[in-house]
Amino acid sequence: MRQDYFRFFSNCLVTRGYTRSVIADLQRQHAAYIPNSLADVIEKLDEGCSIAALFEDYGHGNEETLQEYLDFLEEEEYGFYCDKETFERFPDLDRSFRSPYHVSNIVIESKREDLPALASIVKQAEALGCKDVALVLYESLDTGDFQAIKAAFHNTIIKSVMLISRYSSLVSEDLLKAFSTECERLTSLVFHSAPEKKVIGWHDKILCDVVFTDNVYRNFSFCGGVNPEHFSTNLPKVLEAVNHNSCLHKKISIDIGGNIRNCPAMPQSFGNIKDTTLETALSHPDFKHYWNMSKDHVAGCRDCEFRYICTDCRAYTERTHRDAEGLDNSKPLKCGYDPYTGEWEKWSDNPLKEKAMAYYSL
Amino acid sequence: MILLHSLSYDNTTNFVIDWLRFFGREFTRINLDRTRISPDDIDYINDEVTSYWYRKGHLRPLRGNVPFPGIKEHLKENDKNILEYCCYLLQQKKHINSYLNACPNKLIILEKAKKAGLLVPKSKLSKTVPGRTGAYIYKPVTEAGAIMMPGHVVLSVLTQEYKAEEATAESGLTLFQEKIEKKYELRIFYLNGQCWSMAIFSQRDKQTALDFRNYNEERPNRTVPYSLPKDIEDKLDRLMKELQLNCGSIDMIVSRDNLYYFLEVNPVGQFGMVSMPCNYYLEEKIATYLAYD
Repeated sequence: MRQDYFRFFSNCLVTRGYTRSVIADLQRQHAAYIPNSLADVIEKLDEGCSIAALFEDYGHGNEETLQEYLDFLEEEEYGFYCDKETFERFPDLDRSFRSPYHVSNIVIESKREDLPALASIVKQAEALGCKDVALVLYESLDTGDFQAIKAAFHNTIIKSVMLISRYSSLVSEDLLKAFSTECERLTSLVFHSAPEKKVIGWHDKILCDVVFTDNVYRNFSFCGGVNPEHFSTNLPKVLEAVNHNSCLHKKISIDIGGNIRNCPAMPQSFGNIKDTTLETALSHPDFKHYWNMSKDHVAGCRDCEFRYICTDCRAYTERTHRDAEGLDNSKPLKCGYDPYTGEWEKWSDNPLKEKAMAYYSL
Repeated sequence: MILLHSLSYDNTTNFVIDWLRFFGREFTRINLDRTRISPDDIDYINDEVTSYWYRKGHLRPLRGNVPFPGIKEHLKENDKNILEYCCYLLQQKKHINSYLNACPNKLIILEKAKKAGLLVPKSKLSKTVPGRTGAYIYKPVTEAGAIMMPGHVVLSVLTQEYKAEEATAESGLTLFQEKIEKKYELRIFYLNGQCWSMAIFSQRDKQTALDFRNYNEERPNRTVPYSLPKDIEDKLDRLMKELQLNCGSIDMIVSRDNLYYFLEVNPVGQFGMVSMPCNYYLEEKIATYLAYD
């Protein structure tokens, strides 16, 4: 069989940016940079262009580069040589995203005194299919608080709990062992205002990730950062980002005052949890407005090669653009990457962001 | 009421249940590793159950303490018939699979596959390797991939290549098959006449070239969506109907000269590793089949 064609693996997603492209390997969960000229070649190959036709198209003088490109793709296992019959057996990956949850995740900003009400909030979230919970407190917790939190998640369909709270001397290795073992759904503990930065990974005694940060969290403005450390190249997350807003899609939240919002830092309130159910808030006509704002609709981001693997923030933006429906589709404020130059800088140093920073009191 | 028979640790069942909840459909999950069936179940099956999924597990009746071996044997036979009857009743509802047809005979399946028009590797049950020339593999005729031994030892029961120098004593009857040089292998999920296929590029990696379950964690084999030729799909459909199976995971090999070899079908096999990488939403398909007419 003559290997006249080259099939690029369909579980690798090429994302074009202004200065370069990224291959997001959805299976091996890894991203690599490639020049836009290679992205062009991959596109031609995907259209069914034979290798011979490819070399002819590009002409004399480009053979060496083309061969380098093909060698790279083959060595890195981004594709394989095949005959025409085989080429036609490999379809594209279906890029749709569907999840069986009305709401997939909930962010709850809470005071210690409100923890007794947590269990009933979790029940409401469960009824909407919610699987992932982030619980944020700015105070430090005592043993009674940890018990109340454990009890709220016991016997629920919640599959992950991230708990952010203030560091205190109570946070010992014994406490971490006990709490992470007893609270089975706990996946991540973050302690802010800690004496030093430290990360303890999951191991056989402490059954969750533990992060200590020396940053002091006083309100929700700690959130909204865009950082390559948090880029994710896993298939469901990327496909969600291709089709929807990667932060707000199927998210619901309750802020520190009990107001139900898309996230605790978003401006619009859809009622207070004291007298409004999550279900009622969810059914408000405006609630899902941002759910489908993928990065392809966001200014700047639409030209960025990272747009399907990075995080988003609609609460802290550059406040420069509104779309046809009046929704804020500006770039996230805390992203220091410029897709038009291909360079990273500290976002807060950028003078163009000063006005927005002042608006948010950052 | 949708009835699910599964095992407490089966994760695929959890995903199907997520979809059933999302569709707002009532279901009952019985974990067969934790529960035995009781005589009351027959009324339940007749009156309440609307559709049924046999996912995994052994159906075992409640058994009290019976001191006399003769009576015990009699009751065992009695129970077996009642169990068979329950399975029959469940088959009359809209269903996916059945306990009594969960482990069809591998050797018989190979024969039926040939009758359905599929190519199978040349196979022979033998005490020694069947031929002097050519490469052979040998494999078990059971489903097990692992055997639990005392002292937390696990024996792996994967396909092996026959190597002349490894044969010491004469073995019992073993299934030998000609070794097909593969381009890639296929894992196909079949449900009610439809196929969803995935190609696995296990050939490049020495570790996985013979049995891709010998997983390479560092550089996993490529697993991508695949489109089966129509005639192969038709033959698989014919085979599944002949085996009276409406659901299963099928293993095939595509040789270097583009020939399709059928290896086996497992009605209750894993398919999450086809569903997720190929974005096929197979759990949604199962839930939809159970939930709607």
